[in-house]
Amino acid sequence: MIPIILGVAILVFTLMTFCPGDPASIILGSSATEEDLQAMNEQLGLNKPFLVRLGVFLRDTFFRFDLGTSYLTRISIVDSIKEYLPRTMILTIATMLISVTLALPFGIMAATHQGRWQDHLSMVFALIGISIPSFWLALLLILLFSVKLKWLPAMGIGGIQYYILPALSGSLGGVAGLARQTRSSMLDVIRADYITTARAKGVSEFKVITRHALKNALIPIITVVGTQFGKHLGGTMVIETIFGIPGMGQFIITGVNQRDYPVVQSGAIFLAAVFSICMLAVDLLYAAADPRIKAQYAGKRRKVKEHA
Amino acid sequence: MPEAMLERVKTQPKKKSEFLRVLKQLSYNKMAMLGLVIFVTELILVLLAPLIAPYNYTAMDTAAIREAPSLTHWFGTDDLGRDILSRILYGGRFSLTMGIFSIMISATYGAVIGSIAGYFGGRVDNVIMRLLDIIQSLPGMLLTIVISTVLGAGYLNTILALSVNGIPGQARMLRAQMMKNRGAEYVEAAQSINCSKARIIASHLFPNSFSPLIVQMTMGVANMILMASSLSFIGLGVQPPQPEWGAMLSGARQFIRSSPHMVIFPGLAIAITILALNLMGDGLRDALDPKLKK
Amino acid sequence: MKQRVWKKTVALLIAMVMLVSLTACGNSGTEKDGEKPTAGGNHTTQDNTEKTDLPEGQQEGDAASAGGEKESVTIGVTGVWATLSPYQTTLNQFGNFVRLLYDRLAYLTPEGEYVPQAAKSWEIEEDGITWNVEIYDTIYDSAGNHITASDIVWNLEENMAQALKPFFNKIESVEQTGDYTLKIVMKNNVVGAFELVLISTYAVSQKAYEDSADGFATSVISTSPYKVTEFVAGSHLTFEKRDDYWKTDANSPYLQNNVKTVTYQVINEASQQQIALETGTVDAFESLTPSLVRDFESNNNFSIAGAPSSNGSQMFFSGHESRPVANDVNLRLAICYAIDVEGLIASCYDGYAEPMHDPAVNTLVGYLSKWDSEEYYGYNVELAKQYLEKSDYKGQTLELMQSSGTQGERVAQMIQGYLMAIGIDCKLTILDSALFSASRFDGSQYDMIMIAGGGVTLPAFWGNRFDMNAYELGDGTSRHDEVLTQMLYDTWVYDGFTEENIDAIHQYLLENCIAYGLVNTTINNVYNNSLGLTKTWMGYSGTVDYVASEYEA
Repeated sequence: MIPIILGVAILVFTLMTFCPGDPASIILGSSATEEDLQAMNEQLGLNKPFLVRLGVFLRDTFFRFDLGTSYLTRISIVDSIKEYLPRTMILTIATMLISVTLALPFGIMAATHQGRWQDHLSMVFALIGISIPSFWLALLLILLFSVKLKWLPAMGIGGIQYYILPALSGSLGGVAGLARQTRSSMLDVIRADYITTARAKGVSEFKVITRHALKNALIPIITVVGTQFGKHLGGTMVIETIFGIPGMGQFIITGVNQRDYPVVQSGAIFLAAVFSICMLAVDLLYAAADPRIKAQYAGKRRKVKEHA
Repeated sequence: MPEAMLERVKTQPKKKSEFLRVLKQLSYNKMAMLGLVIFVTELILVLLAPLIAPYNYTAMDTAAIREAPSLTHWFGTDDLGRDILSRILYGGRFSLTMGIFSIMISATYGAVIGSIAGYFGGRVDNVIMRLLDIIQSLPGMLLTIVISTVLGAGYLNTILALSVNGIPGQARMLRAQMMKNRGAEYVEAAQSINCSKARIIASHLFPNSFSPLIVQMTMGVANMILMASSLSFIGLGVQPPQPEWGAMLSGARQFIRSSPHMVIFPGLAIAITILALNLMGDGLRDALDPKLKK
Repeated sequence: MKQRVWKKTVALLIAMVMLVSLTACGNSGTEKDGEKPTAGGNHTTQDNTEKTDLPEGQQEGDAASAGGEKESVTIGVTGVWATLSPYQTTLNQFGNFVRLLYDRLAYLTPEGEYVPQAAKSWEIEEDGITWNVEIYDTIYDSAGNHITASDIVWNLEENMAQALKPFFNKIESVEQTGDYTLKIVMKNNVVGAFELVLISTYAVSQKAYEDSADGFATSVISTSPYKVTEFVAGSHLTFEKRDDYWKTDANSPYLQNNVKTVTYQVINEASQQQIALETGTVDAFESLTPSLVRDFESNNNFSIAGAPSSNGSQMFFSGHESRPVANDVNLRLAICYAIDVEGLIASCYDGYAEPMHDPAVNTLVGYLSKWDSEEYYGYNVELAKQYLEKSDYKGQTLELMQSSGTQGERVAQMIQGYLMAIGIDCKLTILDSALFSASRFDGSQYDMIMIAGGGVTLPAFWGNRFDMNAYELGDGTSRHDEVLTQMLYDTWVYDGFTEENIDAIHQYLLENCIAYGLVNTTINNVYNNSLGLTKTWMGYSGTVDYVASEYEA
């Protein structure tokens, strides 16, 4: 994980260096003269050669754990992330919750009624969800729920009600993938002998599906949930912009637009780290979901994954 | 040499029958056919845009600004008085080709990288996979935005920025396929007759790993079109006079209260395209799935 | 049969989606139908004195205190609201909220007057560069710290050291001369440079600032009439009126404080601005996106107060040798006469803009109002063609540089069209703001560049644009015009700042045509009539100062 984060740091730093544009002239605005600009570049250390700056950046980030301050606002980036990350996390978690609560029933219904109209209906619904650009959906939802029905706030931050529309508009895109995965892994297990046995034992159909089938079908589903979580975490900028939620996405986008290098670099490293942790959590969840893996965790994990 | 010839002769008809089988399987799947029909229709409309479009897509008419749909302008006009129907027809050229080209670029690079990693395994594989890990641990949208900023806005640059983002996924999938197939008998056979590595990858392993790639590419086009529209939302992507759907949609969103038609039509164009591509992808997946062969 | 069900479900679903979207929008369509706004035409700035008709549900419960103090106002704004630091530059420093955040040494009114705020008086010495400032001896901040001259000196020095606001670089030195007096020595005697310092220096206690963990980025201890009760970066900022403000009487109507709680709500997304006003999330919006304003004109629940902005939109010609326009005055004149400014205003600004009569906007200190009635380049295709005939233009492609953004791009596209119409080949170079600001001084990269140039005083504007010694490559467009530069140097000093000299520069620019002031946009302030505004007072940047404005009792 650490080499990956290091790689991300170098990659983003290099990319930002190639970004055309001059931070100093953005900081100082249109009335700055050449002298002012040069003084500012000096102050920011931008006149040093690339490798020196990279070295300083990596040293500060990884050895001193100092993410620096924003060029523009002079606010410590750690403080900013502390403020923005929770909002993005709430949004992402809410989005995933909606995704999962919609996708699981659809996927299960599709699998248990394979080939029948329920199957097709669920899959078509999921596909329509993936087909709508999220910001378009967001606008339509705002018109319906905020302007017409006046049920939910159209924008801003505050209580959980402020996150419902953003999460809803962000979640539909993920429903399709998740429902599809649920359906296919449910199909894999649903004809297994132990399901037949369970039914023969007289276990209720609901229990058969939830306790026996779903539990065994869960691993690939968890993988998809994990990847989607990571994807949503870094892809909330559009939703954040439209709903006026100051989160990580907006923070980084503003950084890119204003060539605020430290913001983009640290923001990206942070998101990458959170993403890696998510992936690790997925691995751990495998073990929790499947006792076989727990037993074999030492060596054969890869093999099981491939089977799934 | 003759062996190789012989082999080609042997594989040729098999490939064809495989293709026919897939096609046949696909034709059973009505939804996939529907997707295919929609997509092909769109392609034709877009190709014929100069013939069908009622107006020039850049012609501004200051007397007809933000007009609601009518008989003269079926989809209404935009904030500079341009005909939205014409812009959607031409915009399809940008949107669809952006999706298709970017996925083709990323699939090509992904395939090469993935094949190399999958075939050679070991240290090569390790290094390549770690590099891909690095790219993948950055949120896709963020990476695309940064690359787009570096390259600058514009049609070609946006395609490049989008495709970089798609490479790791394609590479990973092809690698997994390669690993599965690399121990197969026909590969051993090829190795035994001293086939070059490049040749084994290109003419044996690759065709046999191709089908999942096709599915992923179909869905990928849809994904890229969506991503491009998000880029436009942020202000990157194709530049204004050019009518890419996402750019039309995001440029029109401030008028959603007063002129909803400006938002509805480009949005529908995107949604229908994505739906069609996903239906196709789903159908292809089923058709290519060996589990459902019978 | 199965397939038929299939198709039906798909058709049904698609129909449902379309239906939902259509009902959601169809609604807004019908609302508008009744009173369609009278189309187009030349729409001038409206001082909407619309009588507030029955603001329903308005309950001024509290015993309507004398002047009609308003309980609370929520104002929608745009921008990157990231920090409250006194040294920040991300927000408009002339925005009305700054007055609630910090007391300045002096306040600048839209008329260009400097009203003493923390400073009691200021005087210039014989040498023309030394200023003596006296501040009030009764200034206390919200934590009870007493502000003395040393705090002001520290603040000035801090501004110079942080070098974030370029006009502080014009200071040579600062010195405390008494408990409440200080001396500021400027580097040169350019008119208005000191006044800029005056209005940009905040009365802040050094002790309070140094005790603050984040340099006032998120919480402020200030001397202003309001205190910050809540600040969420990028979202909202709430002020509450202090009852222990050191200054007991407002010495200018611009400095009245008639609202108890003021909230600024950041809404950058244009589609949400209109929704926020309509749903009552905000009572007013500062500088609403022009294309949305038309809808509010036909809405009886809202009023619009317009004011010229302090930034115009100008086209500057490159002065770099490599460019065809650089030394070809006829070509430049041809271009200017080819552009229909009224056409630009009607189609790009929806009527919400005024033509300019000088490269500088008419709100700058020093601008001569007589220019507004004088002849400026007009739309005259015949004349443009004649000048083009006289010029050395041989069909080269001219490049027009513009920074990205819906509004500017539309203007650029229109100008491109006008130039094409007289036979000039024109290519647009659209750059994002970061790249644009890095390229704008390099005249070799464009023939024409669109700039939103403004400021406070004419000399400051000239210094940015036409001083050939300002930048490495020459003036703002890499030109080396010694005559003009000498004229500037002679004019912008205190004894040279005469009407005659100023007019001479205007004439010189007009004849040589190195810049064309196109349009000055109108800032549209839209507010809900239920606010019960009886008189609006504007801030310098053309936005309504809802705190100073007067309300129904």
